[in-house]
Amino acid sequence: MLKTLTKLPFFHQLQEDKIKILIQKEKIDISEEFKVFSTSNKFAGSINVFLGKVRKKSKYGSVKYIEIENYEGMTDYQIEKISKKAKKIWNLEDILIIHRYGKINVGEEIVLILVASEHRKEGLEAIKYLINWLKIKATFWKKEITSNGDYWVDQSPEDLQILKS
Amino acid sequence: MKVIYFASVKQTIGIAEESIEIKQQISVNDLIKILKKKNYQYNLALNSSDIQCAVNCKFVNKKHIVKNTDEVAFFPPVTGG
Repeated sequence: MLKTLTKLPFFHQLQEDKIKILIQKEKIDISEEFKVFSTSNKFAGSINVFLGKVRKKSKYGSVKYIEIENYEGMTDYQIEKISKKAKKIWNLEDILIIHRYGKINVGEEIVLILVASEHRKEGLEAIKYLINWLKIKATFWKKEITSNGDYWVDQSPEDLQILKS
Repeated sequence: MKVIYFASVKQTIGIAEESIEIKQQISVNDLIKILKKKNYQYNLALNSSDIQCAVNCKFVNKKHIVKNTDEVAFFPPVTGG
């Protein structure tokens, strides 16, 4: 486990590996994060982005907002492990992952992943890998507060398939 | 040991964490059996085969051996992202 620099929001910067992980309640400043990331990786040939947002509709009804619970300590450990593996497989230049917890309104961002690589192929493959594994290994739980009541979200069949593969 | 619960497991049991003392090292499976005997809510929360377990922040299977100094967490499959 690496040293935590600040407690809240969780901030994790691996200087030697150029991996930054933030687990926070606050909204994500997408344009600022992208600008900083792009500037600090100005010689990378490709920067790929994944942005996960809160949908308005779910199988339970119209979503008012969601609540995300987080197992502090384990979440960052899991994301760090996944990121280090991805960085090694695709020889990535830099990774930024920001994931929110707590109350998140419809239309707001839940997770931002930025990957810098020399070529697009590696970056595209890595970003798919990172979000897929984050969805099955990072210890977050989503509850939807809908017009028909509150429901814990089940893991999707696609995610379960990844787990079995 | 410190036992912590998350999401629907926490909601069903009604508490976030508790301290459990065991006389000897046991498997996660045996710990689940002990907890399920506490009351109906525990039995309901921990009855599903989907329930996952982590010991000291690492995923483990139900055969994993736990001791009093461990932090053991029970939770449903994760749904972040």
